Amino acid sequence: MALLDIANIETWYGPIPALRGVSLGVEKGRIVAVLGANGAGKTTLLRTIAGIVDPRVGGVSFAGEAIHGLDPDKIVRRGVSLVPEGRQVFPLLSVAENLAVGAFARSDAEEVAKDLAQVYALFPRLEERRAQTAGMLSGGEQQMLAIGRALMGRPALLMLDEPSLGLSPLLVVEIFGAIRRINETMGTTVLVVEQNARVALDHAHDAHIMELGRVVLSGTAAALAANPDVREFYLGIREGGIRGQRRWRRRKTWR
Amino acid sequence: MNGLAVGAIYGLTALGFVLIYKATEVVNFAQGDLLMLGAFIAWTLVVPLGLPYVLALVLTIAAMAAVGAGLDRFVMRPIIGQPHFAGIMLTIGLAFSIRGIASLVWGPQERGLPTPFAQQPRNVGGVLVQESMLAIAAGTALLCAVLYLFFRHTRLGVAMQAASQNQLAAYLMAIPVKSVFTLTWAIAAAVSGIAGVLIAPLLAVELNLWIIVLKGFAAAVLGGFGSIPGAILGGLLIGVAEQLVGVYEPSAKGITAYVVLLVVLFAFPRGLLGEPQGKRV
Repeated sequence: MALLDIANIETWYGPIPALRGVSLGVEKGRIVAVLGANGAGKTTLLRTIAGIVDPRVGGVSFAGEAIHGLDPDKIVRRGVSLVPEGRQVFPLLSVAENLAVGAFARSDAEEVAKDLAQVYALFPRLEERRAQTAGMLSGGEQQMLAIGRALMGRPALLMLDEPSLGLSPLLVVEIFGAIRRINETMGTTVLVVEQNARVALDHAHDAHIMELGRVVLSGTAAALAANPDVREFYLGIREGGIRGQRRWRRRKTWR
Repeated sequence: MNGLAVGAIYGLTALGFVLIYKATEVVNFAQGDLLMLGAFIAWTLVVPLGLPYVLALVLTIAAMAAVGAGLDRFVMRPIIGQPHFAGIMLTIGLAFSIRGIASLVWGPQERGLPTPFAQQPRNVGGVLVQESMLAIAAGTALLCAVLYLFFRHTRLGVAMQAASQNQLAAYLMAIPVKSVFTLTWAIAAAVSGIAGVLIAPLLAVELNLWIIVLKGFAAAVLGGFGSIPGAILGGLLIGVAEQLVGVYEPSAKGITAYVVLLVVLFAFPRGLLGEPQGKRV
């Protein structure tokens, strides 16, 4: 059984359907990427899992228990953490305070201290700046802080919404490298939503592609990276036709 | 010194404004009426029931905290997510309701709240000061210190700050944001209750006590609406300015607060201690 099981959820914003029946499973210990263009419903998917919006139809179960309809703070206590899009650090609190807030729901002080050391080991830059207010950090440092803050809750499932947003290519690779290390050393299962398909496919184990509120393609990251449609539409690699050009626009095979 | 004491009360009222505004983005216009309610509750406990002053103070704080929590839970929570305007209208409605209930229960007559502090002045570093003024100043300072320690150094306090800075992220950190709102209202109401008890020896306990809210609002804006030290500083500034103007030109005392507010806002449009500019988004 999958750690996270999403069964045919539909999420609506008023009269507008954002998810039109999405089903997918996340296996324990994997890094799963969800790719797609703007408006595909990737963020809504994460927001629905986190309980910020409730699905109109369908259900989400985590470790065998239904979690849809719970308040977000209850879902976090079950072990599902979301690093929201745009980082959303607490700008007037210091780095150390931000991390402390991440452990708000926990009372095991010794384990929290251990996790703090682990976060600082993962992102040494945060330790250097621990007394600085988070609003003054650079974008990359804020992303590290947002991830570190989520880790302080010791989640079983870490969800990240576009961690590459607004970061330089070098930093994007660094952040994804850190995600990989979190997965390998802490055993955290990761569900990451990305627009940067290349980096995401390079680092994930499994991947799903969403379009217009549906999952249109699923598979291992390697299989998707080899799929000709994905190569053309998401990775921008054109298999050369006559003189490297083609006279017709390719159609996606899944439509 | 009188100015500082009165200013401290303005500051406490402003503090109530700022606490609720920062946490919930609602400007609570019922702050002055909560102050009045606190004074009436204290009077009821001390005069008809004959309880000692300190016990009455503690009970008033507890009662006001319960009132604040109740207001949030049953009045404010249903409108979470509605436009700001709805929240403002609701608090104005609350203000009139509290005033109406108080006039039904206690009536319009003025009452005095006896305090254990002597009225004769005492010599403090060469300045003659009334004991009740000292009590106000000390009470305010103590309250500020307690609030400062709570917000800076307790897990709950830091979580409350976090919730006021980014509600969504606070939710995602397992902070029960709705309960934090309720707690904020409880603290703000308790602070206005304390302010009501402290100011009672200066003024009479009567329905018009709510008018302090106007000065408190000016103090909050002066301090930068959203800054807790700013609220206290703004209150002190207005209180002292009022006292000084009152000595030289008593007829102008009433407008002093607003003149000070205008002048300061000309010089510092964001208020004295407004949010720092250096904030990256």
